[in-house]
Amino acid sequence: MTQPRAQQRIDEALAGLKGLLEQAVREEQLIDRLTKLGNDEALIEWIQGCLDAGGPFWLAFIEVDRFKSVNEEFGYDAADELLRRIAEQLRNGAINYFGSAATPFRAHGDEFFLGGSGVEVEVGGALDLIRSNIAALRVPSPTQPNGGLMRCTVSVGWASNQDVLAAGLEVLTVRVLRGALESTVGVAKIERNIVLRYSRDVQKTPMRSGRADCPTCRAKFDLRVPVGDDRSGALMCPNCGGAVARPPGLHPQQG
Amino acid sequence: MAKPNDDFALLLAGAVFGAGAALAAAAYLTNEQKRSHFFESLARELDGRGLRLIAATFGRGSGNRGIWSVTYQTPRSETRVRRVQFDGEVEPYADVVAHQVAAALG
Repeated sequence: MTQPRAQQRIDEALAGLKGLLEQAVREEQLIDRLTKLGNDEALIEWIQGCLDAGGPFWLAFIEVDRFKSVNEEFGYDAADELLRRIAEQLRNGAINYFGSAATPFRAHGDEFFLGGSGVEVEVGGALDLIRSNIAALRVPSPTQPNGGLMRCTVSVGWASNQDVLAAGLEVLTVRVLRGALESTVGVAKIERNIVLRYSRDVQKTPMRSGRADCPTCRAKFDLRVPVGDDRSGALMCPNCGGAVARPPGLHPQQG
Repeated sequence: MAKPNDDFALLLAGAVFGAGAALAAAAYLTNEQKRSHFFESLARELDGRGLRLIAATFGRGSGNRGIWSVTYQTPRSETRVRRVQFDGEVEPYADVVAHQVAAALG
């Protein structure tokens, strides 16, 4: 073997190793450590992939109702166990009700998503089964032996890509879809423990608004939440998608 | 028709069952490279017209039309945002689309 050929093989091996390392790093970046579901970055990639491909798809936003009270009653470590069990329900639901044609994500805290391609299956009915399975969970607190069972309900807002465009929005982007789902869950939260599909009616729901500053992109804008939405967590910046603290006027007690 | 993100299902399967995740991550890297190549092409095309690319977002309109929302700066340093539509069947990150978008702006 000549010297240049040996060098070429070494270079190829190093390039292959570099590629594998890049893949491993990327893989780590896309997975939520707590639940092993795809994380927020993976969700964005997933939605963008659907838009790029151009076919029909749907996405559901699943938010735990009153998760703060679980944290307060059982502690954060125990609440993490509840989140893992919810993730398990989503993973099982994706397999059992969508034949693995749906993908679950955990974007932040108690915010989960489930998305799939096509709209031929009865998405709303399947999501309702997942919702009821989560409501039936009874999870022993790992931090409080004999300390009671954790349970929760979830509110679900979902939309197909066509739903959003049919409601009059001109262009569907990652940000637009997430904004539509945020509004839908906001309305679902008024009743809690329900599944609601995005429609024009969601847009017509009475809203209250407050002025907010985004700490990420520094944009100033009006944030709107449905009247009756009693959540106290952060809202999403319509400009960059970052988390924005609720401005005065949008706190639950001020509704 | 679309086969969105089969690679992501593989990624999750990999995360759960310990196999295939690397392949999925590789697919994601490929997508990122494709997008990165498009943004470089578009920036070059705009540069040739005296415009500076700030950001570009891809979305879909009714009838599956592809729509690029492009934020750019004019030679007078004015920032503008324009939407450019194209045939939904065309690959959104193709060089021909970058050329088409730049031509519509410049």
